[in-house]
Amino acid sequence: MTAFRRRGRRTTDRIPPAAEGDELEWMDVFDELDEDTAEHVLRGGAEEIDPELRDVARVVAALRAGAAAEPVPEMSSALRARLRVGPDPVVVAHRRARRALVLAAACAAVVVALGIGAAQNRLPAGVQDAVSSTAEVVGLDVPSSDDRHAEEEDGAEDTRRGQGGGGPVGDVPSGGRDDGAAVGPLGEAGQPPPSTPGGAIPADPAGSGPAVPASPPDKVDEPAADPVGPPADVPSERVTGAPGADADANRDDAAKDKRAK
Amino acid sequence: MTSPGEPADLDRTVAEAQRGSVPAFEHLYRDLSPSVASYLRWNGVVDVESLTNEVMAQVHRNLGRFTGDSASFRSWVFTIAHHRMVDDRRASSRRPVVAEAEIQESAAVGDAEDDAVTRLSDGEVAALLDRLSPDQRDVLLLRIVADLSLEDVATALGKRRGAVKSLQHRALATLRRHLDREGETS
Repeated sequence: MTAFRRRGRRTTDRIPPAAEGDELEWMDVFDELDEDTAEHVLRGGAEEIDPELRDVARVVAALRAGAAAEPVPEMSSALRARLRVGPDPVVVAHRRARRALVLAAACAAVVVALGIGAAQNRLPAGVQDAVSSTAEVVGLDVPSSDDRHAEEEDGAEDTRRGQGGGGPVGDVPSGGRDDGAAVGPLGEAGQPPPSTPGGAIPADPAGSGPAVPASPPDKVDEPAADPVGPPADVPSERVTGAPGADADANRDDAAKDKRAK
Repeated sequence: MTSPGEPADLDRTVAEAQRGSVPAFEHLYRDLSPSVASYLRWNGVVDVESLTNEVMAQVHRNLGRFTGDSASFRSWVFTIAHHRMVDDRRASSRRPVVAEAEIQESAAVGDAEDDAVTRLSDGEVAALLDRLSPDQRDVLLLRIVADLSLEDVATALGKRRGAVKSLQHRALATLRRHLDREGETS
């Protein structure tokens, strides 16, 4: 019943019931009531407006007069006590704002740190994977922890390859001997690097290092650049290539021939 | 201490009240509380003085958060008043009711004077306002009693300016129609 009455009341408020024959007249006035006229009426300028709206202006004037004649209400004791306390400090709002600012700055710092760490693939595996998958959603390519393992494996393989003779320059110490176990770029397995003209021996088995000048040929009987000596199965003359070595070998051969005879 | 009659003075008084000046707030109270009380009274609030004090207490409490000029301060105060009035209306479930006896008495006084200069009695005005929808009445009272602009009323009621303008036109048209009808019957 109450709802029905409320609905009925609201309907009558919004759509005023029309008396006999005055619907068109009311609508005309409503349409003609432009903003300027309404402002005149609301300011109480009854003399300047349409005589038909003069009654409305009287209502407005009565409302204005009533407001002007309204006495100042007595201030309650609660309000007086309130005045002694003063307005609520705005510091509370400032403190909240500052707290929010600090929180936002901290969040930003964390995001930046995570971003940098993730871009360099230095975060713990779980965090890295989480950041990677999150960044992938927004279209950013951030490496995951799997990529890190792959990189580590590639690095280890490169290291092994370098130690095996095919590595980069400088893996083998300068002046070191080639034991023939690995194949270098300049020689086959079991063969020493070729000597340079005039007896110079490359300092680097790889052949890229600076050549070490050999001793003068007349003073060198043994390969000075190879302190360890050639492998047992390799003739010494092939290793050194010195002219004196050939004469010794010929002498040895002649002595063997004599003994055989 | 200046009197808050002019906007500049009102700005200064508000600033002093925000700094905790009791005399400044008392000036604001004297300046604004009659309008607030009138707005509440036309809206059918029974205990006008008590609710006006509550409104002004809330104004004082939230004064530190207010930013703006004198016009927006007035709008801000009436926004608080409107919200408190709505709360009171909901709590008491009362609509603006004016006793029939008061209307009859006021009408009798009005009949004795010339129509051109006769002021309508409070009872007649209240009876006319009761014909309006709550929204129409709020708009009309905020425009006339609180002396707010269309924009300020829109802000206070949380409506668009166009909606407020439409409500204002309907309210004026409704008043005119009822006044015409009463004129014909009398």
